[in-house]
Amino acid sequence: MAAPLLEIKDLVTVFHTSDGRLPAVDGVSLSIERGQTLGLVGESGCGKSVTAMSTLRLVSSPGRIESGSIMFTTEGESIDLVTTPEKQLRKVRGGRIGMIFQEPMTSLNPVFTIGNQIAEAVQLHRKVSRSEARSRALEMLHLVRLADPEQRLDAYPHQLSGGMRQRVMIAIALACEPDLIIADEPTTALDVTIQAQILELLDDLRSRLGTAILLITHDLGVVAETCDDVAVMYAGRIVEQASAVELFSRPLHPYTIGLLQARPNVDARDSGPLATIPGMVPPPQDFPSGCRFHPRCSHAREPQCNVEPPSLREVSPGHFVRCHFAEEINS
Amino acid sequence: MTLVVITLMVYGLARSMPGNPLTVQLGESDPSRKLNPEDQQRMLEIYGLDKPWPVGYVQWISKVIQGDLGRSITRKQPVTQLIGERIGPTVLISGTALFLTWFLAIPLGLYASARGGRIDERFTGLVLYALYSFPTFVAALFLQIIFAVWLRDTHWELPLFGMSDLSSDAPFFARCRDIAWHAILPITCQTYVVLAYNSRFIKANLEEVVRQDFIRTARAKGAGPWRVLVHHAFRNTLIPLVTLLGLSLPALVGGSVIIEQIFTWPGMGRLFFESIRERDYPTIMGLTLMFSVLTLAGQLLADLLYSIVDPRVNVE
Amino acid sequence: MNQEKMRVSEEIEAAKPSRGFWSDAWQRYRRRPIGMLALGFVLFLTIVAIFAPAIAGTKPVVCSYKGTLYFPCLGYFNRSWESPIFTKDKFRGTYPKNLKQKDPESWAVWPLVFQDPYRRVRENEWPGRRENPSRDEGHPNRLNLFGTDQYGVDIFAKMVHGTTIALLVGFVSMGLAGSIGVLVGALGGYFGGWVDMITSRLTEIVMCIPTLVLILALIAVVEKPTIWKTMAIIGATGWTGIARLTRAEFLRLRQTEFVMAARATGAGSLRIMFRHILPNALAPVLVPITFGIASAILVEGSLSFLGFGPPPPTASWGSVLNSARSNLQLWWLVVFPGAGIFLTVLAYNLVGEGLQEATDPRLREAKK
Repeated sequence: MAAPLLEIKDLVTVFHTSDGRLPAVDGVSLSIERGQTLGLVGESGCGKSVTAMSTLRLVSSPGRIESGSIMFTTEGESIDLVTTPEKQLRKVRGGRIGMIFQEPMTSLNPVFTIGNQIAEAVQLHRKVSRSEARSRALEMLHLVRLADPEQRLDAYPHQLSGGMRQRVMIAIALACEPDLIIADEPTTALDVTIQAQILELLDDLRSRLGTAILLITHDLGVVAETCDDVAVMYAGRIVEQASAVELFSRPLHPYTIGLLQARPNVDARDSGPLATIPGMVPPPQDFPSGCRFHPRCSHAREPQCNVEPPSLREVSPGHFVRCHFAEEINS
Repeated sequence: MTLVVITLMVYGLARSMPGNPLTVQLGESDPSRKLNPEDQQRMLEIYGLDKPWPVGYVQWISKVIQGDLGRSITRKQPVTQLIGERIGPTVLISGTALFLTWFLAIPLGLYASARGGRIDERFTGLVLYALYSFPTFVAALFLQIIFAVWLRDTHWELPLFGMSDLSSDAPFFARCRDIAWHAILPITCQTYVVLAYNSRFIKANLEEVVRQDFIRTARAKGAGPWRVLVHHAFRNTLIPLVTLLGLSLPALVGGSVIIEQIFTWPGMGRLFFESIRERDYPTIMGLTLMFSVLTLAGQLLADLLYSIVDPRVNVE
Repeated sequence: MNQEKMRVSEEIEAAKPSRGFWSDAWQRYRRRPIGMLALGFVLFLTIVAIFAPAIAGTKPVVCSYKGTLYFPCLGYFNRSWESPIFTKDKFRGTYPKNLKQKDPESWAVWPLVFQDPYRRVRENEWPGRRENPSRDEGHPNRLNLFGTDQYGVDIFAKMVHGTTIALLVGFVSMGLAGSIGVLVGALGGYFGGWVDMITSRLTEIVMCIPTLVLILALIAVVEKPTIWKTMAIIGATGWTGIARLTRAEFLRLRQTEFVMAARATGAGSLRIMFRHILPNALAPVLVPITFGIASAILVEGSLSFLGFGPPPPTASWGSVLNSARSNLQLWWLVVFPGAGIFLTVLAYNLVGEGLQEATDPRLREAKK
């Protein structure tokens, strides 16, 4: 079997602050195949964004990748993104892996035109003339279905709405036909209707261009619609991983179950108050001992759950859970 | 509107200063040349000093509207001519200083931001900070001691006072060199403070810009560190920089009273100082008018430049 | 069972005391060694300023004369604090000999350095000591640590007593400037409309007039410039930057919800301004005030330097530099006061910067 496009193994990214060493990402392993979409889900503060940033070594100080490897395989070659020299990495950034960020309002440079910024993405990786880059930029604007692309080329970011800017971001990410796009909460800052459009666009581009997507979000609904596989993250660790179909029909980890139950059900009129998971996501300086979810888990049993951290086990083919009692809870 | 109020206030202030040009002059010159009372009265009338100051003000402003800034009382020259004579030397110093400052501050700021936190940057940063806190007149004195007293009669000696020692019919290049030689110390004093401030300003600004999201996008595109700094970050720093530049316009022409006083440089700052001391009202007013106009113009210029550099702002 | 655990841990969370804004800022300020050094220096200067007469002077710190205790050194602060008995008994300012002569039982505690900032110490004034050298011979020596000026007045004493002036100038003028600036800015920022227009015009006008000119003019108007009047003038001209900043802060805070809440409870404008908005606006305004202290010291220095400062015999660092202008070969006249002004300004600038870093909310997000 061919090596996966991206394989993250035991990634640990820490932040050295005045409160000590905080492991925002604490031993995360993921893999994405060519053309596949993996959704990384979790509440705010669980470390999913940091995982995304770590992939391209964009974690800002005082954060640092401490250990682990990120193998990126393309055109028969594998490189470890964690250790590869900066010059090599820059070729990957934007050239082979594109990234879309959460805040479209501030992610574009206010003093340059849209066309300029897309063209820059092209010119950084290909030896093309200014006019060729410009026409490529126009092509990309068409691809992301931005209205009036010819005029927009010379527009400035502040003249576009949030949804339009996000399309531009996608255009920039796709400019060099990357193998993988990392989308860090691409729709969180947008209105619901625009959200749907952007997701549809991403899905469409995937099927047309064959780009793999790592989609990071806190919204289960988004995941259900677009992802092949799902990984659920909690307090710096993956707690469950399976195909989307499997996860939604047979969730095994108490956290996943809680998340799914917490979604309001449109059909059930009189279902009573919304189910919630009591408590809050623990911050890195206060990670609980043993299983990090145990203080909030209704199935937690002493002494195991609060002393021994569970490992990620394959409970059924392709379905991984990090829980001591996964089988018992769900029988 | 603001101009009127400013000039009104300054005139009133100037006139309320005790004494008038005649008394000051008479007090200083020797008693045998005292004017008799009739002549005194006549002079007062000529200059409108015998009337209360609001009237004097109206007289002045009506002449200004016609483009006449009046004649200097103590120097007996038209004010415009006086200003014209003095403006050259001042611009020589401040213009060169301004150019040097920007020429050096930008690379310094970029360098400081790129090498932030490392030993060499910390050291330069410290030196710049110390320079920024070092008072100009102390530095001027220090430099004077070193270059004019300790290094006297050596090759490195620099002249202490004035702009030029040669007379005006000396050969052109010799005069240029002489003036340049005289100008070194004043220019140095004028430059170093602003340089220190500007480069720190640029560095602080760059550091803030670099924390913005679009810088992250640029890096995600694969841009290298220099491109990120010079192309993406700096272009955004230009915005506040340009405002700073516009606001330094008045100082360009106004010169520095202290520096010109120390080095006896015949510039605008010194003129201002002397005219206050001599109670030379027309000159004071002319200079004030000019200065205020420049300050307001400077603000306008800053706004204009701002709208050019920042595409988000509309020109009004 | 887990629900209870949850609640308990939540309560513990809530009970952890949250540090106030200022103690938080102080914690952060403490971490920078340079900032602490600068603050220490300022403290050192303050101590010198307060104890100036006890450090250098020709009057005893405390003496017992004819059975009563006196503190003649306070005469350096204010003429009238020096007891009239010394004038009555014709001391004429010379204490060492006269005390012993007029009352053999008297004793005195002398200042650390026996020199006077206002006059030359005479031959044998202190038994066995020669008079102060002057001019070229006045370079630093054992008796005159910083040398003497061209008239023979000791520089060390001048520097020590000048510290009082330097610090006073900073605090008084900035106190005045701060008050005016905050008031003007607050009024404009809070009320808006025509009030704002007037205050903004006023600020603009004062800003447009070249400061030095304004100061010189005001000094000339005030016939006899004492140090207090000079300080007042510096204060009266340096408030514009503070006013602008305060106005911006008030404008911003006026829109916040807590102000609306205060209004909803019926608080009047004045109360809102001072009790609610001002404490919040204070932090960013303190920074230019600190820098303003440094600049006020510089301005006073330059004024004295140009000859416009308080008239002699007031001892200020700038006036020493003034005498240096015509006596460039006496390098000690430049080095010591120059270093003094430089270090003081540097210290205040560092404190201001440290303060800025400690209170700037944006710099706090190092962890994310």
